[in-house]
Amino acid sequence: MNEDDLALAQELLTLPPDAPQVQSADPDTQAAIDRARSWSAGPDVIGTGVASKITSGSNTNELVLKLYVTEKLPERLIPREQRIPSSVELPAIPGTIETDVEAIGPQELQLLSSRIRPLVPGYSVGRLGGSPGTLGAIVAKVNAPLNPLLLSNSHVLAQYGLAPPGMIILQPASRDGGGEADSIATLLESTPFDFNPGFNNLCDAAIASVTNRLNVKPDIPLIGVPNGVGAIPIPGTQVQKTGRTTGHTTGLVKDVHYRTFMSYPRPGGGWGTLGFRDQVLCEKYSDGGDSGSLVCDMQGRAVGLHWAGSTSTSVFSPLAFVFSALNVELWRGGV
Amino acid sequence: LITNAACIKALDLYSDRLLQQSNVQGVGIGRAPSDVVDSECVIMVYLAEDLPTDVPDYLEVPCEGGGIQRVPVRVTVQGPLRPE
Repeated sequence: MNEDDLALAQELLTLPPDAPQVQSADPDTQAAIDRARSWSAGPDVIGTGVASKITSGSNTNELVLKLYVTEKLPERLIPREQRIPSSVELPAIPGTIETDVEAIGPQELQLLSSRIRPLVPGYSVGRLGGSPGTLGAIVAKVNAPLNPLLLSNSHVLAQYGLAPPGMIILQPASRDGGGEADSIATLLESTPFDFNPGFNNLCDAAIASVTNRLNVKPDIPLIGVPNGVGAIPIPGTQVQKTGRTTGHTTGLVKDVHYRTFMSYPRPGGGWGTLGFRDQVLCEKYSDGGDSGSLVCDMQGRAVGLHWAGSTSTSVFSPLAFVFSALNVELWRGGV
Repeated sequence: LITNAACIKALDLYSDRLLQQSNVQGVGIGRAPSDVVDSECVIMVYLAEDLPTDVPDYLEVPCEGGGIQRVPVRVTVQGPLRPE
């Protein structure tokens, strides 16, 4: 079943009975929704969504209707009417809607600007004295695949490329309360910027070497370990990210040929104009401090590195540009 | 029919000039809206603010076999873009 139909099913099954979308449904669909309400709005369900089915801990890449629970209980402990069926049918939607129950633990307001150990992506990071951004992913040099490195933006870790290698990196960032005791890594390398006329820049990225390689996990909150690297999503498809400021959010891809000029500080002093090309413009999914977030498709495949935004849009660089410029890949040591 | 290839050619030819306008902040390629005929896509021009612009309705690009194609342009307000 396609993502749009699953999203419609999710809406119909979770909206209150007096919602216009439910009221305008045909009588057979309304009856099916009423029957399903005992489990779709049951006391154990803490959230719903549309995502890949997980079977025996593995991602099947099959999009299904997700029902998130704190923990999975033995069926005998669940009242019959609250048991979640493996599939459901709504006459308004063609086909069978497959479901998947996933235990995600107790929900709590998560401050991604806080200190987190082991280190995981999605949380606040920054150079000593610098503005906060987001730790995007754990990566590794292609020729040293087990040695974890931290990936974020150059303007987050490397002061727009001006900071020298060895600069101390903090988690959380200074503005989020991080001090020298929160030193987690040192700047290794950032992507060079080309200030010549034209659109010569493809990404704004940097990597840092972690101080304690045993204290790193690649799981991104509410996304999980990236499911490999995916192709650039076509316009109209949804992407997701978890970032320091806005947490886990989604947005639709609008334009995969986006070009823009940006003012960046020059190495010799003053400011210059950088032309970026082939960036991915999306509906807004971010805010200040989310820079460096890894952008994934809805199957959990990593597709980009977030770096800029406006009042109505967000922009990421295709991950292929980032990985090629830094000669890195996703770290495989943690899985 | 105006294809994606023609839009990319238009971007290569005109991006720099379009972005020289003070309120133009980005350019790209979008799907052709329903009111655009004979084109799969349009050149998108993204503005920092909702102000009048001198952006043309079409951009002319040379065809490989000779002649000129007119690639339609659409303008939308994005808001000021900054690193986040």
